[in-house]
Amino acid sequence: MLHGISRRLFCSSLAAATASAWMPTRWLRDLAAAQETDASPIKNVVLLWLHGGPATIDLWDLKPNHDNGGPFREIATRTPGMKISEHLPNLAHWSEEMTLVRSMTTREGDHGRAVHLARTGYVPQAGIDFPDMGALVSKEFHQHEGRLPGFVSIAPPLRPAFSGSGFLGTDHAPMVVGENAKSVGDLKVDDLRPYDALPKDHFAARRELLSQMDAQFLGQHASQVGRSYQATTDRAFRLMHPDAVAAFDLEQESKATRDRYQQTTFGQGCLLARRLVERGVSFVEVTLGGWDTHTDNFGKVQSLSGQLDSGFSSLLSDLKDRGLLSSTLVICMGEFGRTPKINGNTGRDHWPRAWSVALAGGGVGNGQVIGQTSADGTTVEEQPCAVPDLLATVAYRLGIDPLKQNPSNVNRPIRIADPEANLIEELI
Amino acid sequence: MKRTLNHAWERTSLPRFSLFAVTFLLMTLIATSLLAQTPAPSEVATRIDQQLVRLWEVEQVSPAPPTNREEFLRRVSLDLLGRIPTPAEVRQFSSENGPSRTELVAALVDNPATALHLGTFFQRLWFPQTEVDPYRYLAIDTRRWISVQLQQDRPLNEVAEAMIAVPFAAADSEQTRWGTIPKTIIEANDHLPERMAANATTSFLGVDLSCAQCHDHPFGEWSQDQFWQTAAFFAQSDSEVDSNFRLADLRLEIPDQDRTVEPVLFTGDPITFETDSHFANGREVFSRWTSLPENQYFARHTVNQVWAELFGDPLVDDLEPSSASRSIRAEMLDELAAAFAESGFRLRWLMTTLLATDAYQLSSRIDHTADPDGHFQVGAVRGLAGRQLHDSLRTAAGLPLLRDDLDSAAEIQTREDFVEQFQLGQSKAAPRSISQTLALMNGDFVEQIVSPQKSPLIESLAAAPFLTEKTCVETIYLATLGRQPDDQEWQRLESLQLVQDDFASRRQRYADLFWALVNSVEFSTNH
Repeated sequence: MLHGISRRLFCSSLAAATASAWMPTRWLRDLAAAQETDASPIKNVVLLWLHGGPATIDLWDLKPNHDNGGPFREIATRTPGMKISEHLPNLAHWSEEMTLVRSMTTREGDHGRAVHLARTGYVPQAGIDFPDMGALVSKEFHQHEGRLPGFVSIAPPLRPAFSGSGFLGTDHAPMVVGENAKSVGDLKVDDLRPYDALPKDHFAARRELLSQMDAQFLGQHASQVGRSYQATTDRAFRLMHPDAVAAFDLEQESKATRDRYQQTTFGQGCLLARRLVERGVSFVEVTLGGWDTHTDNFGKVQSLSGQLDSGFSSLLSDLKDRGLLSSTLVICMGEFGRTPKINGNTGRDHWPRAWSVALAGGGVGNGQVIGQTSADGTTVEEQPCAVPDLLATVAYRLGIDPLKQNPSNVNRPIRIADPEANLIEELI
Repeated sequence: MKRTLNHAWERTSLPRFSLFAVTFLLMTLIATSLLAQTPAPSEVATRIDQQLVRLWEVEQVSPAPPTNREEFLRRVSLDLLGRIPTPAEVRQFSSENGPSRTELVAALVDNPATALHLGTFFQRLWFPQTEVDPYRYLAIDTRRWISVQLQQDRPLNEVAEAMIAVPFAAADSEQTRWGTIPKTIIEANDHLPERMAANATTSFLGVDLSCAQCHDHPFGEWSQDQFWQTAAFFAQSDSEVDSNFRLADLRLEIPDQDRTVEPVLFTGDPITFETDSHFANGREVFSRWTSLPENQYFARHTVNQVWAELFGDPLVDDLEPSSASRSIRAEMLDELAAAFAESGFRLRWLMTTLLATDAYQLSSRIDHTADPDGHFQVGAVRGLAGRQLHDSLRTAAGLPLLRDDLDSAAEIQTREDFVEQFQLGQSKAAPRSISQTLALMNGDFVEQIVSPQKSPLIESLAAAPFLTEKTCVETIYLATLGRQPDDQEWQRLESLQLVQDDFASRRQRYADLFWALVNSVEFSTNH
């Protein structure tokens, strides 16, 4: 995760981090111990990552009776008391399977730091190479040992080192599909088949020779880089199996299905996510970018809402049809919200103090609205939730002990969730 | 500016002659004393090795043995030329009449390919954002221009100064001395003063103020004022050269606060050189300060990053806690930085010095599973950058390297596409993704390299009945790994039937062997 970001960006107290690693709150520890025996029904996670800081005040928590509300209207959903943006009409039908957390609040207003916090659950600190939530889940679910990787990232934002497994190593590194994707055609995994001209049995022979060569070299030149290359080679071989290749083939879906998701990178990415969940990939993330709306907020958000609405609702519909909705948790979030006060360019700027997250499925999405913001949208009035609280709660619901430690790159074990975090009771 | 001699001079010849002689002697003395200030690379290298010995005593580790000649040649070729050596180069260096290691380094350091390879390194160090969209289009011009300067051994501080101070509008005066300086610092930062300032301080000086852009960080070193005072140097001004520029007149407004700041160096030091009417804008003033020989930041950061590239880890990491080891390494960095400045910021001097150390020549062979602890007692295993990998693949196949001025645009684009897939941050931390591995195994570019019909190497070996099986296999190993196969490898090849006395099957067998070798970890790493 830190590869592209200079370590020098992070200036925080080592003492605070040390303290937080070794003195977890008692309540959290007791609760974690109690849930060890519960079997969690959630087997898969889909993260719909809204990159750039979405104006959640124009998606999930509108203020139509205030100047800050802007031109969007609210519409009713199937759930009394839960109203969302008029530009998310399909999602309104799914409100009973969704839960809105309207009281997210953080202190990070810089994209780099906020993205790090939202994806790893920790603020950047002390040169520690924190892993993304996807890598943590992949590790706990041991799915990486199969043909398909445990963590897939579809069309990630164009940002160096956006997504990573940090100190968990290459076994849990995300497999990226559609890097630099500019159109739907780019959403594929290239080079999955050996050369057409190659005689059939030759590839197996080549693979055997290569494995033996690498084993000999690594026996004499033990190194982190070497081991990671060998591990990736191994994963690439497994991915070349016909079953794995088929998972990524969107052509196997009907035109009607593909149109329902919308023929955009995000829409087809959601469809691909559904296929991967069907085949047991533990954690799939799909990025929808363009939410950094400092100018023309409403035009852009309306357009993006259309994409989000089709992709998200089609995903929920397909998961439900296949009986997978109760075992798949869908998280829809970005790194922060946007200013309630509309700026001079009909835009909104960064606002980490009050924003929303939408959850669906996994037994967690059940028509709840958690937390409340002020009438003008600027502050959280009830049940403030920090990002670590959300991630700790998600881990808990996945049957993962949020306090479990992993060895890190700085000779100090790091817990999955920040031990200062509090579980969000309404989600448990 | 000639002054005509007055008639009094012309009348007396002997006093004039002796005055000229004395002046000549004086100037020779001054020149030699100036030259003597450039420290000898071998002496500085010895000093570095001595301090590493101290470090190893403190950490209670012992150094690995030195590399053999083949390992050294491959490492140095990748680090200077940016590609692996050819079989002919390997044979020549390994022969009894081959050059010494020092002679090899001296020859390679002067090679134009080295200027291009190091030019790419500095393009990525100084402008990391040019590795990704939407700034990728700036990369080629930036690295080409830097390479041309390095080809002429221009002092690196002056190169940096020119890049930071590049004017918004092209002026005639700049064309003659520097060629057309790329406006990368402006374009890659969207013309914004705060981003240009962050780019200049972080990437050129190794000082990261960007945390302080929005607020004073409670635990950080820098205040918000310091960030914006630095950015004030980069505020656009309309002055032309030699008009009424005054540094004190520059102001920059801090967003969302009703106040402006003046340009002040983040060190708190005053500017010691004359600024009014000598510069066209604040950015030129800041870049001049950057390039001053006594400015420790540029020298230290450059040396630290070049060390990291060659040895796998920086010499000093700002975030690491204090320790005896850190103190020794900090001393080493200070000494190296001072010597680098004394040499006139000559990159060739720096490369020669670092490659002359015993430490650089340590082997990377280590058989226990614990990773070395970063004390430089074992040679590092490092990844290859996209360009290194591409050029090494072509070299291994017996193909000449692509030339921007001679080869077709389509081929150049193939290279750029391949390189784009294999971006690399720091060489030691290089992860390789599944997509990259699949590209190497099954991708179009590599298919051409290994195809029995298209690869010059395979073709020439397969079609030569006078070459024995042994010679052919050895050549393939030399071409890819820069060494001969050992006994264990010969046995493996025989048991897998890749070595046989069957001329007709040579093409396919050699293609299989070649594919495995170029996909191996050994090929893909600099070790």
